[in-house]
This record gives sequence, structure tokens and C-alpha cells, in this order.
Amino acid sequence: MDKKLICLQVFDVVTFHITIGVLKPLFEKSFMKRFLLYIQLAFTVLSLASTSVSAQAALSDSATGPHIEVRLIADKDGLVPGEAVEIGVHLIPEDGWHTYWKNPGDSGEAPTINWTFDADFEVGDLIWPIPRKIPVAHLVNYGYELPTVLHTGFIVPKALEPGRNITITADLSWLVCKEDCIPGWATLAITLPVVEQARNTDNADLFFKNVPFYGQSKVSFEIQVGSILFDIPFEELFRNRERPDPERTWYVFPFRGDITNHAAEQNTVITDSSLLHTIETSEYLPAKVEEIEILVSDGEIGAYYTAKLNVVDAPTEPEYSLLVLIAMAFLGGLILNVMPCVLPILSMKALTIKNEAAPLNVQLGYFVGVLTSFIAFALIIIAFKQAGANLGWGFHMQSPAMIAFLAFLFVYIALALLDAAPGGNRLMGIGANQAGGKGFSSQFLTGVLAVVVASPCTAPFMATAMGVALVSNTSTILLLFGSLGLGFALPLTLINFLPFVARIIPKPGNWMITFRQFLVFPMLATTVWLLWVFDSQSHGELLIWLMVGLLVFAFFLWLASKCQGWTRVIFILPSLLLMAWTIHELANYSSLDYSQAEQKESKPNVTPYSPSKLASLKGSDQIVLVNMTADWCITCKVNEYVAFEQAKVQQLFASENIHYVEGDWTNKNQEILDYLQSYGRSGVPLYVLYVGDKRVEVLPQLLTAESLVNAITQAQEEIANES
Amino acid sequence: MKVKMIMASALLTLTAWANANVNVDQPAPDFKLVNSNGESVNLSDYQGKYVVLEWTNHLCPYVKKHYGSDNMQSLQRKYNDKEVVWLSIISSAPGKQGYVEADEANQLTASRNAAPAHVLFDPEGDVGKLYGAKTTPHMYIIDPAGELKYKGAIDSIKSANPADIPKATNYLDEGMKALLAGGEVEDKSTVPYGCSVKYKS
Repeated sequence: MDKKLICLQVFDVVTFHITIGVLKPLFEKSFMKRFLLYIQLAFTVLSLASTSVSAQAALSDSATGPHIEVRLIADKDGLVPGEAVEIGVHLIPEDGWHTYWKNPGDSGEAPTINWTFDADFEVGDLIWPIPRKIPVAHLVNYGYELPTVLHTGFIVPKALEPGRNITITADLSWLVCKEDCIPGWATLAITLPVVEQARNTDNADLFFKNVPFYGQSKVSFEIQVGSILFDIPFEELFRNRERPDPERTWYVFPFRGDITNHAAEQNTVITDSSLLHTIETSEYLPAKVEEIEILVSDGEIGAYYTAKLNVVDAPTEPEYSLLVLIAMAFLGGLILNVMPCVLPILSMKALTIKNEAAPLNVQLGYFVGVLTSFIAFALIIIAFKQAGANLGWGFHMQSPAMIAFLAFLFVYIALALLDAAPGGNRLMGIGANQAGGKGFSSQFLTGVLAVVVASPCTAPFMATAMGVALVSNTSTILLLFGSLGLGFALPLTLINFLPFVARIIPKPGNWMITFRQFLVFPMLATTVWLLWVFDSQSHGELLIWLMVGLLVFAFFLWLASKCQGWTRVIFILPSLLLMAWTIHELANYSSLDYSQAEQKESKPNVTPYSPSKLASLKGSDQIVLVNMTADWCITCKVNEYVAFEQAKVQQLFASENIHYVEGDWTNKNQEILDYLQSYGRSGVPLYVLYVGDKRVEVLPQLLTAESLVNAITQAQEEIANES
Repeated sequence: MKVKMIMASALLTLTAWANANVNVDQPAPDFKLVNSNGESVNLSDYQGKYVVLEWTNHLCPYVKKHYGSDNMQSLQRKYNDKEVVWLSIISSAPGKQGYVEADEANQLTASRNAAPAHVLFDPEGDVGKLYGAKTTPHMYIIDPAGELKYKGAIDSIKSANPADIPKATNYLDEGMKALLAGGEVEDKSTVPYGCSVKYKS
């Protein structure tokens, strides 16, 4: 193999000596020295000439520089039109020497490759294997201490004719370092025949080794007082393993050199779902960073992520007056009528409304049913709120049992629309015996049903109004839910009362049966969505049991619809039992979840934040530590692990005159925002220590157990000296 | 919080970074080093003048790129004429690449036709660490009031190839031009490139 040496040192020596040769003679005193320099110059020009002469010859596929050998390699022995071939540069440094990753770290330089070729290849991105952290004195580089292959996929053009030879040329530059560094350049070429079938080369195994994958998880980051914090969900990093091995060191390699201090230690905290990573920021960190591309690796597995800035500040949403919110809730209610989960039931009902004059109380049944259900929702939310839990519209969707119930209900409605289930028509108020069997209670039930099927849905305008309702007082919650219910009930009630509207609706006929059957599909679509929600909240095997349950349930209902009298009951009974049993089983499962949620509420030594409670504690010479936190705040989580949950801190919190007050801003609320703003903040975390009402100290955003203990013990001494 | 702690083996020790990094628009810390003529030089001696700090190591290919092409020396000469004090600092530890004794330093200055006001020795690396100097070259500009106005790379193309010099934006030159014209430096802080400074530790 023709090995050729092209490296910077030659070139460098040349330029260096040319400079000396041209400029120095003017200043030199000794002619001899000048003479020697000219000799040197002549030599280096010669050596340059000889280098370029050899460069004129056919290009080789390998070259040797000081302390490194470079090779251009392919994974296939030929180019197959339409297929991909991997072409790579094999960098083989001597023992103890290393080359660099695309972000070289504190110093050094990444290799560059410029491809040239005389065919229409589609060329992919350069693939970089997982690098290692390489310390140099107190600085840190990222690179490869072992031979490594940087490669790219080339897609061979379909039009290429077999028999041709194609040359791919790589203009390569590299830097190889031990502590000292030597840059080098080479132009390497590889010629491959266009063939119909290609075989793997001996080099094929060198490709795709130690290559990171592109991660899908959502990674977020925050920047706090000189540190950058990453929240990296690790589920997909460990498809084949239970969880991260705590023995392994996790490392975040940013693509850009101006994000982290490469030499700083990276601190990892492993929670049950993510790696919380804290790194000192680079002194060159730009003022505004919204996205950071990173590689996360433990040396064995690696994944690329684009981390997004976590917004911890209060949203600058416009504030709506109560009247506007009521209007929005009303509008949301109106729109809810046409959401896919509700539409089928309501349209069937609308179509069967007859202009026969029913008694007023019967006509109002639906309206009352809807309104009562919405008020009931509101009351449940208020009750939970008073118990300290924050629930919103659709809160029941957090319970797998409730979702299972809704799935049964939607399957039932779908079957009823197909006339394949008993009793459906009566429930939906779409029976043929409109005049006879329809009383107030039937209409009322239709209203309740409509609200229940509407509950998984959210309509436009609703979110804002419901979001506000969540953090408002009792009367506002009732007002907003009432308004929502009014909007929801209005369209059908109006149709009931306004004869001319009823006249617009086409007369029932065969088209209606077709329409009814069509409406089965939104119902089934909603069921599919419910199953998907269910799956995301429970273990995989539960989903299949629920689906089997639904299937058997549907089968029994169909049997029941084929029967009359007491035989019908025989089939209805098992289907109802099946539904009840399934939901009961799932409720057991979900109750676990709830007990965990309760544990959270009743953490020992934690006082939930309220302005009055804080005022009374301060007033009675107590030490109060206020922690304003949120589940989505990375910094808060890190601080909780490294400081608040440490034993020595917990011991202090157990003391009589120390009170740990926690404000949870997970669902942003006004009381906490007011508090944050009184300290000039618009976001979490915020840690404030009160020494009675004598002194207030705002603690830093990044805490350690030591700093917390110190601050609290100092406060204790101050209180002791006072008394 | 719902998330349980499985393990928090790594206690978050937010190391107050031993190298108190200097920041742009903040006072540049004073230092005292010995020059190649054996005299001690204080940064504060030059209050009232612009000062350029250049971390260097004559054997580093990235330094060679800028000296071999006369890029660095022509900047030195250009700003010498404008009363700017140019201090070349060597933080290489004895036995490491780029470490030189006074004589050799003076020879290098002469042979390379360089024109720094002083070549300063920082074999312990204290000043280098104080300024957070990471690479050679690594450039700093200090204004007459003693405030740091620029820190970072010499130019915008991170390579050892002298052919890139004419294509690159020279941050030091642009910064000095802006300052001397009474303006602000556009890129006050850039990521430096080059060989690592060959510190003692």
C-alpha cells in the first residue's frame, strides 16, 4: 500500500521559514545565520515540492501522519444502484494519543471530512461514535483514545450503470494529541465498482460501532445561577434494562462548546423516571438559549436529544374578567355539543324530537339533567379542593377504572345505535314510543348521560375558563360550571321549545337509520382513544383484559338484544356483572395510585402554604422555611433530592420551632404567584427563610443539605439569643 | 413529589470553581509576573492604556498558524503603534510543551519578528487559571479603566490551517478597532480554540 505523509508540520515549517526567509534578513546581523536560513528555506520548498509531486500520483486510500494512521474504508466491495454504502474514515492513533469528537471540549479540534465524487450520491450526516471525556491537566476534552470510524451513508444513484468505477475522495483534516497536538491533512480516495450485488468487506464490522441513537423522549433544561440542569427521562435509554446502573457515570456532551464548563463535574441524581443532571455553565454561555443539542451517554449507551428550555416563569396570559370567563365557559359548553364524543347522542336526540306538545316539566328534563350533572362536577371539585387536592374538568380521567367505565359506556352506545343492545333507545331518548314512555326522568337521564359522555372532551374556550375555575373560590367555580352547563344544554332545549327549528329537521326515514349507523364510528373512535389513555396509565397486560372484557360485554349485549322477556335478563345480567367486575378490579389497581397521591399530601413535617398560616407562624417567633415548588420544575426536583430529603434536613424539620412550608405551583395559582412577585420573582423555585418576623433571608436557587442546615441553625441561634 | 428518590449518591457539590473566571465588562483582576528580562510586571502598571493579553506556546500548531503567517506579529505591531500594551503570557509548566527560559523567549521574539511589550512567565499557571485561559492562543482585551472588554478566540475559524486566516473574522482586531473608535465590542466573549494550555496541573 502506498503510504504517503501529508501533515501540517511540513506545511507549517514551510510557511514559518518562508516568513523568516523573507523578513528576517533585514534585521539579522549575522550573514551566516541568514545563509543557513536560506538553506533551510530551500530545503523546505524542496520537501513541499516532493510532497505535491507524490500528491499528483493516484490517491491512496490510507496515509500516515505523526502518531496516527488514517484509512478510507467502505462496508461493501461495490456500489449497488439504489442501495446505501457506508464510507468512513478510520482514524488509528498511536497508543496514548487521541482524536476529537465534534465538540472537542476545552481545546483541540474535530476532524473534518469534505467528500468529492463523480456520481450523484445522496450523502447523509456524519456519524460520530460515543466519545469519552479526556482530562488534560484541569481541562477536559471530548474524543477518542482508540481507533474510531467516522462514517456516512452514501445512497448510490439508481441510474448508475454496472461496470463503471466510481472514485470517492475525502479531504480529511485531523488533530491528534497526547498532551501536545499535531494536526494533519490528507486526501484519500477509494474506488468502487458499480455492481449488481455487493458483499461485505473485511472492514464492515468497524461501522456503526458504539453509535448513539436519536432519542424521542422530551428532555428539558433550566439555567440557574451558573448551573444548567437537564431532566432526561431514561425509559427509552433502557429498553432492555430495568433502570440505570447507579455504578455507571452519566455524562452529557453538548454539541456546542459554549454551553457547559467541560471541566466541571457533572452531578447526576437518578429519580424513578429520569436523570437529573446538573453541570456548571460555560463562561461563554450565550444570553438566550432555547434549545440545546446534547448526547447523553454512560459510555456504553448514548442518545441524542434536543433539550428544550423549561419555562418556569408565570405565563403572561391575558387576565380575563369574570364576565369574559363566564362567556367563554358558555361558548365552550355550546361547542361541546359538536365534539365527537357527544355529537352522536345529541344528534340522534335532536332528530327524534317531535313537535308533539309534551308537558313543560318533561321538556325541561334534559335541561335540568345537564345542569345538575355539571353542578355535581363542580361540587366534587370544590370538595377535593377543600381537602387539598387540585382537580379540574376531566379529573376522573386520571382514574383507570373511570376510563374503563367510559369505555364500556361508549361500546354500549355504539351497539345501541346499531340496535344491537337492549334499552339503548330509552336511555338516549330516541325511542320510537316517544309519546308514551318518555317522562321527566328519562329526559333527565339523557341529560346526565350527555354530560358523562362529554366529560372526556374539552372544547375550545373551555380550557381557559376551566383553568381559572381550578384556582378560584367556590362561588366562581359554581358560576363557571353553571355557565358551561347552560351552554351545553341550550341547543337541544331550544329545539324542544322552538317548533320552527324542529320543522327544519328532515322527517325521519330510512336515511336516519343510515345516519345512526354512521354515528357508531365516532363512538368507536372515542373508545379507541379511551383505551389509549387507559394504556398510558396502566400496565400493558391490563389493557388486553379490558379489551377482552369489552368484547364479551358486547357479545352478551348482542345476545340480549336478540331475546325477549326473561331470557333477555339472563344475558343482560352477565354483561352488567362483567362490567362491574372489570371496573372493580381496575379500581383496586388505581386505588394504589391514589394512596400514593395521598401520601404526597400528608408528607411528614410539611405545612401547605397559605398566606394566613405563614403570617401566624412568623408572628409567633417561629423559624419558617418556605419552598415554592412545582412538579415540572427541574431545579426544584434536584434541590429536593440533594437537600430537602436528606436525613439531617428532615431532622431539623422535625424540631418544634421549625416549620417547613411548601407551596405547590404545579397548577399555577394566584396566591403563590402573589407571593413570588412580592420577592420580585415570576417563577419557581423560591426558598425563603423567616426568623420569626425579625429577619427574612432569600436562599439561593441551588441548595445543598449543608447550606440549608447552616441557614437554619443560624436562624435557631438568633431566636435563642433573642429569648 | 410523586417521584421517589431511588438514589442520590451524587451529592450536589456546587464547587465554587477554583478558577474565579473573569467576566467581560467587569474589572480585570490584577496580577504580577516576571518578564523575559527578569523584571516584574503588574497589570496595574498599565492603567490608562488598553492592554491585550495573549496566551501563547510557540510549539502549538494553532500558535504556529498565527505566527507562521505573521498574523499575530502584525497585530502586535499594528497596536503597538496605537499605544496598546501587548502582553504575551506563557503558562506552560517546566518540562511541558511551550515552556521556555528567558533567553529562548527573547530569541523567539527576535526570530519571529514579534513585538509584544513583554513576554511574561506563568509557570505555576496561577494567572492563567485566574483568567480562565484554556487554549493557546487565548486573547483578552482590557480597557484603560481596567475593565475586561473581550475574551476568547483570536478569530472565527477554528483550525490549524493558515489558509483559513484571510477568510476568518479576526475578533481581536475587530474588538480593538471598535474600542479605539469609541464603540463597543460586538462579540465580547467567544469560545477560544487551540491547544490546551500546558498547565502544571
